[in-house]
Amino acid sequence: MQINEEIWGKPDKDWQSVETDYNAIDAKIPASDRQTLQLGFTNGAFPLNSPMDWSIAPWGINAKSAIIPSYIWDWTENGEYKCNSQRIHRYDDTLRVADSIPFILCFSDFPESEFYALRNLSRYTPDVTTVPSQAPFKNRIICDFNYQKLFIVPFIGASSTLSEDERFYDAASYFDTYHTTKPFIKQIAYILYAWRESSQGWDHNAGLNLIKDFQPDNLGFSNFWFPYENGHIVKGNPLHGFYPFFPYSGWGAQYISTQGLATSEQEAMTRATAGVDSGINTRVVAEWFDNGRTQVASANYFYDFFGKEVTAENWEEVRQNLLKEFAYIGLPFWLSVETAHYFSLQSEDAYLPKFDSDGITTGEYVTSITDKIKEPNYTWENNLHEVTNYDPSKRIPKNEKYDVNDEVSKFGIPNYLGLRMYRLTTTTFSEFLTEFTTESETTETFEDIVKRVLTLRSMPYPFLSDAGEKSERIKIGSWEMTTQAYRMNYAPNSGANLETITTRIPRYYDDFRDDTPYTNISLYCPFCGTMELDPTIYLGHEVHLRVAQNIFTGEIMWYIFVDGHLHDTMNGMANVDVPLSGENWGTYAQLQMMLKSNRVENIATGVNAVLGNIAGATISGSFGNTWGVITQAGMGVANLGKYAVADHAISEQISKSHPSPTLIQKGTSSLMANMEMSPAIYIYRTQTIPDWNFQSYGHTHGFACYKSGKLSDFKGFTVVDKPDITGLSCSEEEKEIIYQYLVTGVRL
Amino acid sequence: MVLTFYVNTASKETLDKTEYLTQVGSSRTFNEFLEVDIDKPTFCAAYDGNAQILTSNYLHIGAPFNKYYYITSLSLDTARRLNLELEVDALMSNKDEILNLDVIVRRNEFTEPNYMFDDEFPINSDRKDISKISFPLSEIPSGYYSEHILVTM
Repeated sequence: MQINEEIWGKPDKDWQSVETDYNAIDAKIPASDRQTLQLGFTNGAFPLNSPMDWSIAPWGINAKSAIIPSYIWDWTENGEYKCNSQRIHRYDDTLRVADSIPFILCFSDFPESEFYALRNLSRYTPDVTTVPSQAPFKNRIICDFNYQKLFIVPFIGASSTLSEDERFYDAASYFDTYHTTKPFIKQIAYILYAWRESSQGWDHNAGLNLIKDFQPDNLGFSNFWFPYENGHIVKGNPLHGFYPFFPYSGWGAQYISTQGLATSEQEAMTRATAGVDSGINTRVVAEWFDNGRTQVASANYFYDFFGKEVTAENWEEVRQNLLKEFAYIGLPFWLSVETAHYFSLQSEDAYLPKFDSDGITTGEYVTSITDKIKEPNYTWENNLHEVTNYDPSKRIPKNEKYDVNDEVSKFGIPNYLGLRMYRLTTTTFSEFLTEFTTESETTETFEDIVKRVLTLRSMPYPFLSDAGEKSERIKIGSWEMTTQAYRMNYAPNSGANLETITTRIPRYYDDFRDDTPYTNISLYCPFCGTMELDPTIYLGHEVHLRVAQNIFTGEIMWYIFVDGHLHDTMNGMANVDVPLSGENWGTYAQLQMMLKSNRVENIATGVNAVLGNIAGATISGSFGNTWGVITQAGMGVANLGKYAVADHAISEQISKSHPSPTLIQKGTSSLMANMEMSPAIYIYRTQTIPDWNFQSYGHTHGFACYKSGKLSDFKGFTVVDKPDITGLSCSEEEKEIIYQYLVTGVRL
Repeated sequence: MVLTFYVNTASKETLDKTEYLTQVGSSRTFNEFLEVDIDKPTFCAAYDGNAQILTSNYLHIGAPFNKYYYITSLSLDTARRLNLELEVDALMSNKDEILNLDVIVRRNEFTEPNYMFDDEFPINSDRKDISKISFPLSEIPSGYYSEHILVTM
């Protein structure tokens, strides 16, 4: 059995056996207690289709452990749970679950084909509050309850003596009053509330609609129960499993019993749990879990505050720990059930949990509105139907309220110069050229006309349509053509602003090898080339790009966003100029006037041919210039020699405004040869050594650690960095020996 | 001084060898009042005929030494005396104090690879896997070819 003792503690010290005789570590588990091994996950708490490694991290799963869906277990005569190996969910990077399932955790060395999970190796996990925050794999409590408009009110089940049955008080009552008279905390229960949708007062049906909106069945609330069925609360447990360390009592749904409570308490509890009192605007969705045992064994607790007597001395610490536990769940919480129906996140009585950068709850919380609005979940919780950039299921909380459009501000060039800007489709472009070169001779002199054409340019990506654009006849000077095109009032963003899809760049090793020099990543952007990216910024994060084109200059710029924030840009030239403007065309026209009528169509065709080709820009290089491509594509090889001299003269000028893209060739040439119009990220990853045995390597070399503490805190092969052995009471010779062993490695 | 003989199966770098020691016998030193090097002592000890002692490779010397030693040479002479050449096991002899040291651990067996840079980790650096993630534009209409801009006066 291999466990991560750093996370889970030492079995002989911190672990609790599932048997009631908690001192017997390997006590056999009676068959009747099988269900007590269940750690939840019955109601969608396990995020559907999420990578397993995220969700099982709190269980300390490693390559030698397995989680085992309880429903595939068979109880054998020889006292073992036998598992169907085909259905064992092992930990790896890609493992996903298709459904939410109850399971138990088993630590075991097992062969590839099958294994027997011994009962006595299946344990409750110890106090989760001992989990170090910087533990490997970030083993911390994960909450990804991604439904909006829900909050919880915690209830404390406490008694005046350890043997007495507990009674429940909302956190505020317990904090204010009952911690002195009921100093033994036995359970924490949470009531899940849904905010009412409208301001029309509490309305039963409105509440129902709200729940329907969540479509709980589709989201994994398979056992979602209407809260007050047959007159009492039916436990829904929708969040079971978020606290995997809560031993889940397996005798089915439980509910808070009001029997034995004083009338006033009973009334409060009834209202609190059932919400049937019309004075409560918020409505109970479900009591969604407690810590499991109605009859709690006297010392079988998993938290510091469970089963310990609250005293005046330790109360503040206990209170802070309780608040921390509430915050770990990740939902906003409210301490008082009496005032919960006024719930508003703006209130300072509402507690908003904080998340870390991985979307994992930290146990911290904020209460002031100025602090809350800085939290990513604030917008999420405060807006029912609005799309926010925070989605807990994606585990990427943004650190601030943020609009990606703020980072790339839109600017436009107003048409105050009296310029006319037209957007031409492929068809109108061809029509325009035809009319231009045939009809212009009959209006003004051709030179005058072409001087008034400032730009005729093709761009690779569509323009965003200008809200004010309309189709009208193209006007050049006083000449109004019959060809119609979209007239733009201004140049929005000086061109297009198009978004790519958003993709998470996956980590692979999830350790230092996901960084340089072991992993390099580069970004290819069409017309701009390739650049190196910092793996630590991009790996594990969501990336998307935006492209903007400057229609006046032909520049193109790619904006690279990481988790919605602008991180990098790349720019280049993407235009193909059609040599129709100013003196260039005038000179050319005078020389080649006789050819223009049959040529323009070729130009139009040729430009389209180039732009339609994903390698347009670079192909132009191979032909010498853009014009070369156009002429060759349009006119054919036979005519090329005839006009070669004139073409060359013009193409030189075109080349100056149309530099070839700068390409940094990375990796193999075959990968870059297939150039695309879409950006792409290439990940170059060092290969692992075939058949690499991590365990053997760790046993003889260890892994980079750099943690401090008593040497006794560590196990196995350990190398110490410059130990100070000054205080050892032994001879200098022995000190020298000890020092040498410590710096070269000792086995602990 | 009391000698306790063991068969030690632990490697020398094992700090606490308790689990790896099998006691095979005991004896007392003859020349405990002679001058000895506490780190590499040489002793003569009584041999009681216990053949298992001859297989030992490790021993503990009781007070006032209270240290563990590797047996580097063990021989039996005609007077039924054991001639022992020893070398101190500094780790085992001071294990409690060593375990209590405040240290910075540079490498550890049970620390799974994490984001701490590890320049000793063997890497197959001559080849790399290459993977590609494309970012197609989400708004380009199907059949899009190209667009053109015309600016006139």
